[in-house]
Amino acid sequence: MNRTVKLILLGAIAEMTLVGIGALAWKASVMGGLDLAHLHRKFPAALLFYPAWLGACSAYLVRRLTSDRPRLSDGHRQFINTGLMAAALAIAALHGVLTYSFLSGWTPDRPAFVRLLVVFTGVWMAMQGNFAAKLDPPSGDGAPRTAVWTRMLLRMGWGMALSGLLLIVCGLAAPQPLLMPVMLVLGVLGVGAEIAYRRATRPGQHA
Amino acid sequence: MNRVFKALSDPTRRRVLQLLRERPMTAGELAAHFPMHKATMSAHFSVLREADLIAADKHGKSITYRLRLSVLEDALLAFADSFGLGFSIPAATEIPAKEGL
Repeated sequence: MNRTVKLILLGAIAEMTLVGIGALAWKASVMGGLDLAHLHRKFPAALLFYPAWLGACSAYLVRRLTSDRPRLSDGHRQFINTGLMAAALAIAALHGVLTYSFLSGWTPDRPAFVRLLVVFTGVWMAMQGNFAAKLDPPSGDGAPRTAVWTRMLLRMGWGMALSGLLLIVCGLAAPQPLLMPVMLVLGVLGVGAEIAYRRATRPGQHA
Repeated sequence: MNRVFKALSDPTRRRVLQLLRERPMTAGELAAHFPMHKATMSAHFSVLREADLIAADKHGKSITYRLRLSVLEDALLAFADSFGLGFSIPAATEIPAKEGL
């Protein structure tokens, strides 16, 4: 992980944490003390959850980037770095919108907001899937066979790209109540795909 | 993108990509599937490499090629194959594999 990516990640995590805590403190002072019942109803947990989530994901990916068993290819490292940077900026922007909404009382048009998020996630997944299929295999101890890696990544890429397209279509055209179930199903499928990928790319696999 | 279209417009190069889908192969192994001179095959490999559809790893004197397709490129390959773009290649004949093409 290069210095720019580290700075952007740390900056985003610090900014979101401080803004989240600051927003909570400011709201408490305006209300003349913490009215827990009110906060429980109005405080978006995402204000504190997002920085924690980004921090956990970053820590996991940094561990993978620094591991030599197996060593990721340079292209793969760049792919992860770019993805992390873009994710950090997107999450920080979303965090800003939520904070503004919490402090000002402005409520975004919820259905449109959810649709926008779903479409954005779809575009993200389709792009990531498209390029993930092209990643070079890792090397060194514990590296999977090149044939297994290539086949698995192409399948994963197709899965991600199609899921992304499905999300875009749903975000634009599906009825509102269908959006969350679709996201949940795709989330479960994503976890399943990650497990399958890990099993298939274990050293010595003959898929 | 022009390079990708150019690379996928030829049935021989598409067949090379289909063969590499199974596993990485040396230039000699790939050439054995086609009734063509090694210089011709070498030119095909070069076009595919320029389009970044395959990657070459050199081990000693032999070059091993492996697939390097994005999802979009894979879809274009399937599309080109389905509609038979280009002309059909002659039936494969056995040509002794030569390393280091």
